Amino acid sequence: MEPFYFGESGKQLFGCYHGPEAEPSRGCGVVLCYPMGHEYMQFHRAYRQLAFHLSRVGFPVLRFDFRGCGDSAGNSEEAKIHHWLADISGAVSEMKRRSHVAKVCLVGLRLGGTLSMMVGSERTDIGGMVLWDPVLRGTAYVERLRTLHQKMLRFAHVKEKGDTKGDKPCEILGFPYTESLLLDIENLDLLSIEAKPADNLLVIQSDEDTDQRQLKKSLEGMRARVDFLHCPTPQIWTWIEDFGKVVVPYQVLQSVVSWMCEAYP
Amino acid sequence: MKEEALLFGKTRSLVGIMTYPSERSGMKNLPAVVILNAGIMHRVGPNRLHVRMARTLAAMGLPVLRFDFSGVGDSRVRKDALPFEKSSLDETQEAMDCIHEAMGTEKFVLMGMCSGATISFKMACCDPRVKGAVLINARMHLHPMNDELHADLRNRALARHYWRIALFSSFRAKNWSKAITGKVEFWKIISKMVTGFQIRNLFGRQRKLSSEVDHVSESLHALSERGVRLLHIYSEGDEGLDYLHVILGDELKEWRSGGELSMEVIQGANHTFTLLWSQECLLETISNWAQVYGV
Repeated sequence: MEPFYFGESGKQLFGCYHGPEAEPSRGCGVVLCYPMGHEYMQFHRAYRQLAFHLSRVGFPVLRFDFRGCGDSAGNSEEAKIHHWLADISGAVSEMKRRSHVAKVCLVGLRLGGTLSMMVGSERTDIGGMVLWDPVLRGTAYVERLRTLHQKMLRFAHVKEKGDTKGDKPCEILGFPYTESLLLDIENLDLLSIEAKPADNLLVIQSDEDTDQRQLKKSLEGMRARVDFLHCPTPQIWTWIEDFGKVVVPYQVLQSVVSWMCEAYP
Repeated sequence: MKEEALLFGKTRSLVGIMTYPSERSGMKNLPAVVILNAGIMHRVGPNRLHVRMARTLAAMGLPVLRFDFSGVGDSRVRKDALPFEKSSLDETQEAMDCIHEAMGTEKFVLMGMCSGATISFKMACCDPRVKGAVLINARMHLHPMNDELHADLRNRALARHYWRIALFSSFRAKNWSKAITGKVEFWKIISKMVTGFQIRNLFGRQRKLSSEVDHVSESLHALSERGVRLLHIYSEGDEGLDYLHVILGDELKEWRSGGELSMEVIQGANHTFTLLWSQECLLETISNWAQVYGV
């Protein structure tokens, strides 16, 4: 595995490239798109595991942090949806440059899944896509984050202080969200996308609160081949202060690897 | 400010991010800062705090390396069977070696939260290159890992913690409300409070535990003689705060007045500094300390 920075100076993104360990390498590179905020923190370990397993079966894999997230350049307050969409395109180009593959598969989790589908519908080189509990409607997602934050305020040893209004960004579970970012997220509607994001898709539903079958139906309407995995994994999306209790959903990871192997034999 | 991804260590399997200050002149004479993992959380730190710490300190002119121990975050699992207590110390030294080779730096400040604080303290005790340590929500770092003593101290600290939270902390109203509404395991906590606690310890003067932990003073004296500066930072809601009181007793005041050991408590903050104001407060506390002590 090689950790590195890529992209324009000042806007550099952190990436980890996992070269294919099995020969011959499969003709498709995999770019993993993380979720945001507390979900990024809680799923870093799961994504590292996923990258490891995919590289073991012959896929070149690139994990990267979005701008203003993780190790990448920028502050969380500067985060913008259009930057993140550009970041996915940058990561796809970087993957092609490193592994010389013509096609790329995106694996996106939560908001990372939503952004992946938006990018896929604008490009022609995304061969496959795994959408793992993607955010279907931004309003419901923001509402849920706010509810989780309020729950955290009630139970954790924290005390709110000072003026949270004015120029200060809104905060949700340890991360700042500016008004404009929240508005951009609230305006997201995955079901309104009309262009096919990829030929082969796997939609995973582990969160019982959202019905991802709506997305499956919508994608099938675009003449895409869609597989659906229902794998209820309660609690993985809630905020957990004790990271020792964060679960790595191995069943889902194994399903993604199996699906990828079947799609790219 | 420039950030660089590194693979380092004997097997080049440790992943770290080096943050360089924009002005590199005179950097050789300044200490470099090494930020260690908070438990199993990767090098970004809780709520991305380690990234912000690194950038804040680099803006003050200090080079900062934050990295993952083997098996944590992006660093590969070790192939030998070295226990974590030993490998974490070896790998912290490898991090210092890496900076020394790249920049000639000979002085280091270690920084860590929770288990990262424990490792920082232990490393400070055994490597003379360490000139300072920032220990955030540290616990179980001042005494040897004797299982019996460990359990006893933990019980006492937990009992004291629950009493303090129930009676004195700014969280007391919230906690009583949770207890009354049955949202916490009330009886489990009560049993801890009763079994592990002597009431005079809560209201009276603190007394150091026993001769078994006398070496705590020796370690602190040895660090003091070497001129090592320690900053303990605790969140109000953290049980490590009680641990420090339990184990140092009245000596805590003496150590603080001597200046070698500073301690700051961030009221209203939780273990991982979830709220933004508490993150700002933590960053300010660290940069003020770095400025005052000229690190």
